[in-house]
Amino acid sequence: MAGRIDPVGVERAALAELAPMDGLRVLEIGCGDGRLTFQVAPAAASILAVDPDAERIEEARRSVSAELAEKVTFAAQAATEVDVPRHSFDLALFSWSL
Amino acid sequence: MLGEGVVHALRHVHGLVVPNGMLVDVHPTTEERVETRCGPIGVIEEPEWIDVELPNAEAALRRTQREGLYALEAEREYDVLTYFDSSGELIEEKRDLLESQPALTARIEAAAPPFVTSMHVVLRRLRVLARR
Repeated sequence: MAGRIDPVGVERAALAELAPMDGLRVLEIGCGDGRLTFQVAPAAASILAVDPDAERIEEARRSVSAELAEKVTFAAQAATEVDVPRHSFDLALFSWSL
Repeated sequence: MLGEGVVHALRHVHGLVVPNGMLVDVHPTTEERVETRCGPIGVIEEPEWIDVELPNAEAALRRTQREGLYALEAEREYDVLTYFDSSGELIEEKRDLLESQPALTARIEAAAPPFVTSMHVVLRRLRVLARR
């Protein structure tokens, strides 16, 4: 069993206060296993969450709930490999990845 | 990501976000400290990250601000805590890093659980500026 990271939601609260994502189209860079993805996804309109680690992307895909599955897309890519039209997103989130 | 890689990524992402959109950067600024109820027992060291990668990433973010791609609007710092019920759980999760720290691994094995690790984290919100 893995450690329980930030169970009281300090990071979620900081994100909600400083960078509310309600209704926004979000690009998440370095999503890993989706830890932050699943915290911000309920408010966002959509999320493209990418990480170059294919194993962690598979883990994230396995963990996504049915309610979030329609608005969250995971892809095994680096930031520079995201190939979508310009201005496709309202917000980019670098998740512990810079 | 290495310095030039970060700059390249930030430039690429700038084109993907609408003008006046947001860039949010969340990342740790310290190595992970390990504690039990009795107090601190050590730091999980990541010398390459703390001495090279982190300063390079910070420099890259400042560089793209000087280039006029982003403007810092808000910043907050906080600690992210992770809880482990046993030494085995902690050692297994941090295996890659602890392999080079046998003394810390031994202190973890000898300590009474539970364990808490903490990292100081910075969250920055930047405005995505239109290209001049």
